[in-house]
Amino acid sequence: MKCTLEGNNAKVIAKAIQSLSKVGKELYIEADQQGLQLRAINATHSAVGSISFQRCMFETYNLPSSQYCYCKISMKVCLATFRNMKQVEHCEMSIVENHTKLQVKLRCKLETMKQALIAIIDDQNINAAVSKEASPNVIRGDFKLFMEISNNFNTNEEELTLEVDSNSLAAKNYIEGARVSDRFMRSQLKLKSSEFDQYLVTKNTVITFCIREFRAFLLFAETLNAPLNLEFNEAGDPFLLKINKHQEIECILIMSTLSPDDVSFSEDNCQRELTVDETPDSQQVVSKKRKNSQPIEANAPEKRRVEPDDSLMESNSSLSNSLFQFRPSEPPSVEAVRQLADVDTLMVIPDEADEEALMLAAADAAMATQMPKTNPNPSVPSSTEVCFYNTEDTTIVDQQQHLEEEEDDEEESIPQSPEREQRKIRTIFSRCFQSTYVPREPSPNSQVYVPNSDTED
Amino acid sequence: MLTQSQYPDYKFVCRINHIKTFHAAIKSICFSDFGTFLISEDGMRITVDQAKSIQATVYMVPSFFEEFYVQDLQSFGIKVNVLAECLSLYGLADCGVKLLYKGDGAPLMILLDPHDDEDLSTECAIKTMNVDEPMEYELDVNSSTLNTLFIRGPDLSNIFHELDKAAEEFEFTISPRSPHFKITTLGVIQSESSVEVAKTSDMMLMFNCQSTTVARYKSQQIRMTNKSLQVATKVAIKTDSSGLLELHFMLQAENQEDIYVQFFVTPLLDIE
Repeated sequence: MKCTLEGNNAKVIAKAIQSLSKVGKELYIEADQQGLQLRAINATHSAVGSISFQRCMFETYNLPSSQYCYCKISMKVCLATFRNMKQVEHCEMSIVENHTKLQVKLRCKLETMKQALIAIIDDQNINAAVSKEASPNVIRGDFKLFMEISNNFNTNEEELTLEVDSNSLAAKNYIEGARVSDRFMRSQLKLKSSEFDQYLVTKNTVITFCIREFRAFLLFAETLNAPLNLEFNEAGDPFLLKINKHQEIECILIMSTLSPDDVSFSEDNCQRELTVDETPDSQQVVSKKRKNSQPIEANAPEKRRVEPDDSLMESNSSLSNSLFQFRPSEPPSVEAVRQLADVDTLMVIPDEADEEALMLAAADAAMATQMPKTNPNPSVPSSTEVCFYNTEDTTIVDQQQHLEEEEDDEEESIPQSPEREQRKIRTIFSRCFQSTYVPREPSPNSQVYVPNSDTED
Repeated sequence: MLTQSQYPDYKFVCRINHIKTFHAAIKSICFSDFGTFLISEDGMRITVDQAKSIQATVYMVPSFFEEFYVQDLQSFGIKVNVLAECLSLYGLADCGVKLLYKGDGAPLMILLDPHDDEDLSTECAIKTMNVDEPMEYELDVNSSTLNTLFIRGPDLSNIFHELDKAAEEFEFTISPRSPHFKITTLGVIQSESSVEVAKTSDMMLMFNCQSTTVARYKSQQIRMTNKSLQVATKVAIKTDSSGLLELHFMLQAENQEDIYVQFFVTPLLDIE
């Protein structure tokens, strides 16, 4: 494979590599008749980014006789090669030495030529399956708009939640009902549908994805000066970010999103029953989603909640904090859903996961039933207003009024957490109330490569 | 001009009105502790050596100084980093400096006068040592394999700056045929990179190459020249078949003569 590019196009490829470097540690290159594709996948396999360059971007483009080739190289080395592109006038990339090395020659100003021989690790490739059907929700906007949204949140935020309905979009850094600590600052940015170039939301949803990869591609969109297309269905389904520039450069970022099972009370929109599913998937999902301690005092839902299953009503109490304390600092919830690649399936120990799932569901149900309806109804802030919520706020929003009073100026606030009730739940879940957690079995979050071979156990 | 009568006790006196370039030159050779001062009627030289494999010399001609007086040949050793610190006492403010030396065993006196404050002045005394003459490296000017390149300072600085920092060795190739001037980084797994400059490039002020020379140097030693390279306006690279590399940096200052910093780097030999 050998291709050459003129300076400016080479700079675009360098920027693409820089964006992909924020996604994954290795760069997958695939060259076929349509053009060159650069891909990266992140460590947890929850985000795949792919940037394709049409053949017409290249000055010359030669493929081997098989008409396609692919290789994988280390991202770090690649970044170092394409770091300083200011002086570059011409770029040539070819695979040499019997398909073991990628040679990059950069011809720069002042008759300088930089050359790099990057070792090819292997010829793996990523296949990201993208559904060809149109997604129910499609939002298109200029990159500047999304930059504003992204700049609204700290650089160390991990996830972004988008709550969309037919008229507006709210970007938040939290999920309602999620268990977070007192110190957590929640921010929300609401935008009207008219702010976007295209806003088609046929299915109201709350969707959460990892912001890091989102920002990486946003940066690339800024380089290209192109609008972004967000396509998604509902929580748990893949979230697509597409950028298309003149049909020559196409980028797609597929991210997995948090499953609604993890989101205890997202919205009325997610009218799901909180049942404990026996399938391995949800067990995986449920057991992995843990936020930090003090879950109960944290925000309770804003909107009227879904009536939980009657079967769960028995566990009609809120559980103490100690229930969740033996799972400190879980990995971020982006690990929760892996709906794309069938790699890294976890071995979940059924017993423990069951218990946990039940406990979680119980807690969820408990919270659902214990919302105090004491406070006046605040209303939704107007479009593009940023709200900060105090964890101690105790109001609750009636969903009907929520929709009607969108233009009011009062702030939303979080309902008070439910009171603790001492019930017979303690005898059933007695182990949960023990203060120390002794990990007798490996946690369901970890991967068991080899079972314990100690004969005494 | 000074006369003997003005400084009867001192064997060496010199004065510089603007120390900025002088200070930069001293800072660039601070990679080793001790430096040897060698002052004669031809000028002042400060030489620093490390492990007998890299040597740097700062030298200035008498016309560089506002005043320059020396009696015979004076040679002593001092700690160059202490000298650099003394010169930086006033930070970025421009100062005039006067160096005085009484002779064998006496300390080197440094008088600093900042220009912006007439009421302040500082006097430092740095202990001196007796030293042996530093080793003299020399490239045979008549050698048939001598290659000389003059390159613009900032451009060479950019090239060196972009070389892979993880590399252990740099290989310099100078050849009359293409590639004319090439630096290859070696020692990094998964990647080998190189930079080539054609002899017709604008940054090449002079390209005098008799025959191809290829030699390897420790990247750590080449990087010791970074500080000089950053302030140099022109760089001369000289080498011959022995592999000894001479990097000659010209530091130019306005209204002043040039200060030269000369580095000699010994090559790495293949032991096979």
